[in-house]
Amino acid sequence: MKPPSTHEVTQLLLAWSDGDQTALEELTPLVYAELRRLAERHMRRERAGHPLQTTALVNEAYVRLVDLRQVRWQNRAHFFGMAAQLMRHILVDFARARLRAERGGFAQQVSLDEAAMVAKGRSAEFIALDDALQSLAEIDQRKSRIVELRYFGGLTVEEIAEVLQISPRTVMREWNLARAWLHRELNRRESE
Amino acid sequence: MKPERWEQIERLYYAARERDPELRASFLDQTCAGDEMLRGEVESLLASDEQAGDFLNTPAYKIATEEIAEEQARSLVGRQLGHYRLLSQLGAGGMGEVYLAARADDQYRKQVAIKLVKRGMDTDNILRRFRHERQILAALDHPNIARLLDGGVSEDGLPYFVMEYIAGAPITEYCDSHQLSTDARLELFRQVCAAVHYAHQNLVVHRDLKPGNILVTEEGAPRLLDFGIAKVFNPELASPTLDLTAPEMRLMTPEYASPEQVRGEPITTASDIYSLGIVLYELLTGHHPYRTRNLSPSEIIRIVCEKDPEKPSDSIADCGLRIADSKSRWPLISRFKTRMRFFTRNPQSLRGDLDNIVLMALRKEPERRYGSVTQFSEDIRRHLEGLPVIARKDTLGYRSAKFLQRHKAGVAATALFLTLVIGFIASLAVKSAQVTRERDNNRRLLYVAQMNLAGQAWETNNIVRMEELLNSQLPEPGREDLRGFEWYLLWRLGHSHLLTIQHKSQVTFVTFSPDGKKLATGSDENTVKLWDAATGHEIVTLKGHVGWVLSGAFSPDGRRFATGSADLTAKLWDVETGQELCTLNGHGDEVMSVAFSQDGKRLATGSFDHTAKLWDVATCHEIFTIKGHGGRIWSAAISPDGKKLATGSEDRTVKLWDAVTGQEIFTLKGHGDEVLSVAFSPDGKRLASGSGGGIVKLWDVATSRELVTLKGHGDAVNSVAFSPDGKRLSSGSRDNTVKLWDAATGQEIVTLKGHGSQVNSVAFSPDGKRLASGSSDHTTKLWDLAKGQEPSTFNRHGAGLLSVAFSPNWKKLAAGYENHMAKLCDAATGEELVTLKGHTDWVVTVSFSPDGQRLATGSYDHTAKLWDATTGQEIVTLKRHGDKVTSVAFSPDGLRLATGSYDHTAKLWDVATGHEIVTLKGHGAEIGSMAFSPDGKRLATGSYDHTAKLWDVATGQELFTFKGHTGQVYALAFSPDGKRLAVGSTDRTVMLWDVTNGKELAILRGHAGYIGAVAFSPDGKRLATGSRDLTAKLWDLVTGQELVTLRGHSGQVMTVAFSPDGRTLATAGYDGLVKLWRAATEQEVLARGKQ
Repeated sequence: MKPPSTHEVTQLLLAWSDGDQTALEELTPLVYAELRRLAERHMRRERAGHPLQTTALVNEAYVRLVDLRQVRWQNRAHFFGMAAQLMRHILVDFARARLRAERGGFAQQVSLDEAAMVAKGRSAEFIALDDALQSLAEIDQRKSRIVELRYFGGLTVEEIAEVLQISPRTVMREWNLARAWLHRELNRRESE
Repeated sequence: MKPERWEQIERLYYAARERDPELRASFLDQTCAGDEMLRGEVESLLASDEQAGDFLNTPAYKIATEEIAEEQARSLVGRQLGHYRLLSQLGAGGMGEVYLAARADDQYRKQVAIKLVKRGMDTDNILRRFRHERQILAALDHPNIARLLDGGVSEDGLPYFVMEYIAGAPITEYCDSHQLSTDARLELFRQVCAAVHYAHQNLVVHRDLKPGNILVTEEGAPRLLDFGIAKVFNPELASPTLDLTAPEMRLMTPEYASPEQVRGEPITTASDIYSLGIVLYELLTGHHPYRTRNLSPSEIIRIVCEKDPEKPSDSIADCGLRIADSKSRWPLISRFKTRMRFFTRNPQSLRGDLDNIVLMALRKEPERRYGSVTQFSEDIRRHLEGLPVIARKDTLGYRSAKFLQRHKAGVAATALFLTLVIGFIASLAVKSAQVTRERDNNRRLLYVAQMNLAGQAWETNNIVRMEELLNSQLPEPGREDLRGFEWYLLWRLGHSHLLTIQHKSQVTFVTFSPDGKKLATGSDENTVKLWDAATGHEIVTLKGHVGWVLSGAFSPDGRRFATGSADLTAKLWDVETGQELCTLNGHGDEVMSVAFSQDGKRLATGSFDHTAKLWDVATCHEIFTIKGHGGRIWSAAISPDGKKLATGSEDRTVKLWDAVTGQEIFTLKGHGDEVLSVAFSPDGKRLASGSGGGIVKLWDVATSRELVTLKGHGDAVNSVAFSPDGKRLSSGSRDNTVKLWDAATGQEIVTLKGHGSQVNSVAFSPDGKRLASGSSDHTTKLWDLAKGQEPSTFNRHGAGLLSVAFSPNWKKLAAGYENHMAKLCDAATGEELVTLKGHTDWVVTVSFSPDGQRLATGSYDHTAKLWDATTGQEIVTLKRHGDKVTSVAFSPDGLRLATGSYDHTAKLWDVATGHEIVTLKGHGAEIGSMAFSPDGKRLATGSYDHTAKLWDVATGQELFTFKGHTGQVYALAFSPDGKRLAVGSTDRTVMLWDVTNGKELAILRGHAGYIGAVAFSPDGKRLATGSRDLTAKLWDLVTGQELVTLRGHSGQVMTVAFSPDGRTLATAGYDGLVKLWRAATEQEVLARGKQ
């Protein structure tokens, strides 16, 4: 498959930010494929022991995918907000796909040790968190967004403050509460 | 929740959190004012905050990309393992991964399953055990047993096993999905028993029988997987305390393990019977007799060893309850439901006999289970036919506790020893016979093991590992230096290059300056370094790129240097000053290759952005962009006349372009994988291309015809280069090797090993005498192409070579042929000196006299001949044998010649007169080999009657018969001190005898074919053997262990000989090749150490 052009991706992002949900469905596989491609490239080089720098990786993904010059973002913050939302969507989608793949039987000749499936734990965590985050949004939209921006988007406190037009101190405080709430929520769900 | 309520909670949470923890309770007392719900909410949030730790502190994308990267690093799909290409992953587990694979060369279309062992497992031991077991396992040939086809080590040093691929479902699932009746289940189970019984007859215990290992195909045939594999991973260690958490132990499936297995006691066929009993229990009841899920290892051991299983018929009654329990494991419910339907239809069928049969197989004490799988299976048959069964209810007298007691008292069933590995016993026997001082012996055994691994590392191109292993055996002060021929041989093999330049990072490319004086290398540290090509000293570093420098080229006048980088740019540099001249911007992705036109005016670049560009070197401007590839461009080259541009791409094609107009000329299709490298021959008539699949192809540039395909690399070919005269081609590969090929015929000339990681780039020096290779192992190596291959190989003898001998000073080599001729050759070059004609049938044996003046030959024409070894003149024909002459040998004083024949006799002749002295009669069959003792007083003869005999040369009396072989004796040799005799046989072993007392000293096992040649090293410490299995082996005579296996012949190895100085081992094979395996000298080793 030919990698998407930056133009294509930018158009889709713009459409999505204008409220076109089908654009998101088209974006997701493109962005995910790009993430995979980058991860693969980095791994190729990594064989001789050069550690993977994931931050660089994701920044690279954004930069490669989106032609910033073309984008008439309201501001930089708006872009980051969209990016975080996109990333959440993609990662959770990916986790769901992965869980499905694992549940969908792999009976053939796997007798080594079927029990050991570490990755499954991670995927399930992502999905549970996504659910809990939705519940949080029902109670408190802003706190849910703070978590989204910070956890899924990798934004700093200052950047979040800029996106949400609130003070960094408020971001910190609300992040703390949101984190405690989510932690409690996930524990409750697990013990049910 | 109402917004006001949430705001209230939030406010209180912030306020409480600002207070000291000990003051929070009283603060909440006041503020909540009896609203316990509110207080509970806030308190639980505060508690959650305390416990949250690092929760959510690592951004999700970081976790996810790491996971993707890990997953991709793990996944080997698309890569090649040995002869197989991995097609898809079938599954993964604690021990490793299973892939679907197919022969990469399409030799067989059949698909196979490959199990690749995970990193972190005890790979060395797994491999060692695998080598012990593989012959036994490969010999298992039963329609219901999936065959073990092959095994090996991946590029990364991980062992893998190739087995027949079975598309099927685990037996339990198959029975459920096909809703088989109890009787049908029992019939199917009996087929499984038959297969297990077959393996037991072949002394193979499965050790890990479980539904996942018993697949049933769509046709309804059961196929058993992984026979004996568990053993390779989980050695028999009679350790009383078993650590179930140890990595090897986790491989065992505790749900199906017998009591003796979980205790770590010896495993026997009875253990398989137990596991089969559990499988049968599941087939009949729909569940496992014990519930072990989520239990600690010690609890599992206790339950398996002590708890009596419920009767299958009783346990069905609980099933409903279990379903109610299993809410949390929803996927299982439907399966249980299916089973329930089946089992409720057959409620009574299990009572009585079947209960007893299953419980008999599940008895705690191995000796109280069925005596064999057949007995088990027969009892089921009797049940099916309504006959009385053997199995009876267990009596109370036999409780598990009693069994434990008895076991502690040390009662062990003799049956337990049946399955101990033969090799293990043999090694112990050799050991115990020869242990003098245990500690020294242990050191020696370790040395032996390390040499075996080093040999293995060499074969798998893992040079770093080989060096480590060799270095681990460097002598320590005050300790005996154990190193022998094999150590120096391997060392030399690993140091066949001239010079190593050590880098701090991976070498991405390497190229010589046009005058050959400089060498340029690129790195993943964003720099290029120029080196003095003679000394390896650094001259200058080109800095400026902000990404890896992926490609580089000197301008034809040597004044400029071009680079392509991952920072999406190319740059031009001044070689003299190291200054950057300009940056070529325009590519949208990494610039993978750069190439100058012959006039130096243009530069071509190929990029991952799917395009190539041509640039004006003088102005640094783009001339045009070439588009047309459907994937990344890995490599670009300009033809010497500057008219054509070739590009190799991810889209599996090579395209040729008009370098002036940018028009596509044609597309070269044929590669099955991405094309990673392209190069024009110096005359511009041919093009070489290397692919991700390890294939190199040569193309005719004028006609676009494919000329020849070069196969040999085990992984992607990253780089190809023609020698300046166009006669040779070099390729650098991800299999860590560099190969040199004949560019006309496509024949491989030599494989250069020495790199510890993939070779990214190769370049010939302009004079064609040296080759440079750059690798991800952080080195650039320079190779002397004049020095040639190690081991050096002569191929002048061609087909029909039957026998080879070296003159005592190793200056000459004699060879006997199928075409009735013999030849005398120069031993150093293989060049023919003179041809000896006279025999009228095959010349099967040749031998030089001790002074080197005479040559003796023996032929199937029933005669032996003596020749002048200088002129090639025939001196005399010895004609008194009544059948084919198979062997000739001169006495050490050169006065006598011994001949052995198919007529069952040996004869001694006077060399001076050609008269027969005596006939040695006594063997009951043909004589195939002979040797004089070093003092000349004894003659040893080896015969097809399975014995060797010792004769008194003076009297012709038979002195002693060495009996023990179970096959014909094909080779024998005296040790240099005359005290030992080594005898090689068609039974694939060598027996070592003490000549002074006729006692057996050791049996050397390891060859997979008959042994046709044996030779002692001059110091008497090593034995070399040549075999029908196409290998030669070196053995340590103190421990009787194999040290290293020498491969490379494609025909039986019929001659092995050490040079008088002990530094060279020659092997000759029916493939017509003579190979000289040279060991390094201590001086060479020391000199390298200093460098």
